[in-house]
Amino acid sequence: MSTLFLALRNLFRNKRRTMLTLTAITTGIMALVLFDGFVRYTLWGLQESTIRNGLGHLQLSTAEEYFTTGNFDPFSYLFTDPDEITKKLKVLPEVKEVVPQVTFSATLAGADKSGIVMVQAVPAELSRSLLSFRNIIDGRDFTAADRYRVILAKGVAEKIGARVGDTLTMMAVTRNGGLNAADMEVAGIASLGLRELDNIQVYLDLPTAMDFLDITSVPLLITVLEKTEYTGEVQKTITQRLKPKLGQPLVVKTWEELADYYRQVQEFYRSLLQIVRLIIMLVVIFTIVNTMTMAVLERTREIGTLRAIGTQKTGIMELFLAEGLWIGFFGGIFGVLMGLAGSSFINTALGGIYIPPPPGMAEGYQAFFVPAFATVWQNLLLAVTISVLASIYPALKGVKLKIAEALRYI
Amino acid sequence: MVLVALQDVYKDYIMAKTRVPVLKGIGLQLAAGEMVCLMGPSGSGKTTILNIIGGIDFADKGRVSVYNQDLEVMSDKRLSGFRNKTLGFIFQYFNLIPVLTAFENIEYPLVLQGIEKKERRRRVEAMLEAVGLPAVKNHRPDELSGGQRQRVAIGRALVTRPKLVIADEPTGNLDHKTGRAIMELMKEMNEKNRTTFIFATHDPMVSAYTSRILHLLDGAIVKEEKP
Ligand SMILES: Nc1ncnc2c1ncn2[C@@H]1O[C@H](COP(=O)(O)OP(=O)(O)OP(=O)(O)O)[C@@H](O)[C@H]1O
Ligand SMILES: [Mg+2]
Repeated sequence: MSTLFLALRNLFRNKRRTMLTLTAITTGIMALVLFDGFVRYTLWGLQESTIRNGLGHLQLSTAEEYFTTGNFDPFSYLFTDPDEITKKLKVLPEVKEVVPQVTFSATLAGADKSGIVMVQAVPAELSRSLLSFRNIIDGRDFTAADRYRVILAKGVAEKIGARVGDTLTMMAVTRNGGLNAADMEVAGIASLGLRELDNIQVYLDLPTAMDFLDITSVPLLITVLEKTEYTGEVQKTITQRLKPKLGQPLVVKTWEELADYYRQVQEFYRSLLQIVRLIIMLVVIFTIVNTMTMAVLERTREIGTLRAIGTQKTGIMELFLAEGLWIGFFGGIFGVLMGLAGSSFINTALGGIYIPPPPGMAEGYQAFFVPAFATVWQNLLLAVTISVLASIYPALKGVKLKIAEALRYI
Repeated sequence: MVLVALQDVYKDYIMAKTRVPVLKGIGLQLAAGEMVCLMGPSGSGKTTILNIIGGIDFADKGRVSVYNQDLEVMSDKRLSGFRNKTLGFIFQYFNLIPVLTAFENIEYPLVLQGIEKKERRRRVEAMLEAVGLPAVKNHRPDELSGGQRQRVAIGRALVTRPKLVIADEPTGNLDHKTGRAIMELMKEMNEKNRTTFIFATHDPMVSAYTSRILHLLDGAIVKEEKP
């Protein structure tokens, strides 16, 4: 007959009140589990579309500055021997593809309108593994034989009024500082999902770009991994094992370091989650403090009796903390179970929930709820912790009772 | 042997901002094995005296010694341990723990002492036998009659084999016949184990079982008689 046992019995004493407290915790934890599942899915979707839209998992260049100003001056950052690095990377089992790339800004002119665009050029045969989220909505994708053809993001096509089959003129500064111009045929129009990219991106095959810019090397190697989780690990391998043995400078960036938009969204959701968590915690704490203070008051004479027959102050403290522990435990378990049940109901029975386009996104999406195992545990722990913490105040009220007075209480 | 000694004990309570003297120079002694009774009108200070002896209230002035201990200077831990091991309490309203069965209520003080389960079981079973309740040992207090509840309370008070049992109006909520049976039980415990009892009561039937009656009036002992 331990304190935990006695506390458990006390829980079933005022069933209505216990139910009230349990409902508060259960609802709160359920909401947190659901919200966490939603945020995780959304961030995961954003992460994958960011990576698969040309960012890759790891980007390698020759200098730090490439990543800030390189698009306007790719010539200062060309690798001396990109093939050496590519070969060494491809030995790693986590590496799926290494894509050489050059990105440059150019002016693209149609029949009567023109615009500044960002040209991303990769070998046509590798473009699918790098740009797997790119959705060709009109025309066709590149074939390996395509030269002097472009794929336009749909915002760009709208801006300069171009359609599939049109011939456009591309103008850009080349390696020796001169201006070059060439005609390009529109092979296809693509939707990229991110509004930021949809308004500026143009794709070209790498041989054409190198010819056009008069270069024989590239400033950037994009590494696509088998799985996104490998990113950190492979980055470490590259900087610790590969880089020191290399005869040329090398800088590695992860997709996360490069994806400003993703980081902003992640930050936004994290703060939102914190706020929701705080509100739920306050509600739960308030409920527990309230109901348990009532319980302490109701049980005044019983507390006096327990003390009279030899229970220490710490014993009274433990008793009420244990009641808080049980309430938190049950509320947490129910909350987590209901959160998981709710998630799977939404995912299977409803087929997800449609979310209209978030700021910066081109399209809405079907959100699924995928709570992480770790956060499920965290939420359970959270329920128990705040429940025990909330019990401290009422418990102290019980501890502070004067025995003689408590015994006179009817 | 003197078990309890009160000497010139004073106690005031503050009620509605005025100081009300409740005990005005109480002196009393209890010898081991005695059965003593405090009698007096309501508000005369009986419960207050019992509380001071029981270490759950303290005198403002005067000397209090219980089993050669100065309760006032003890830490909560020691004082709780002292109440648990040396004293037994019986109340007018039984004050059983409602979520515990008769067995568990009697067992509770032994749990506090850290006695192991088998020994506890043995002693609780014996005590249930002694108070005549083996049949209802798994019943909770709300399933027991008043007399049965007070028997459980007596079991809880005596299971630790205390030196002194403090009983505040133990028959106050029982009918005459049940009250008498309860007193018989306590008398039997007193004779068998030489456990000391001090009662507070209005009930002449209770005082008839005791060896000494202290009459209280307005916080002072005005008369002592031996029936
Ligand atoms: N905590 C307290 N605060 C204020 N006054 C108190 C307190 N405890 C007791 N009193 C007062 O002290 C006086 C003596 O009370 P006590 O309970 O000792 O009397 P009693 O003889 O046991 O009475 P009863 O027969 O009604 O039980 C009463 O007037 C009571 O109101
Ligand atoms: Mg009284």
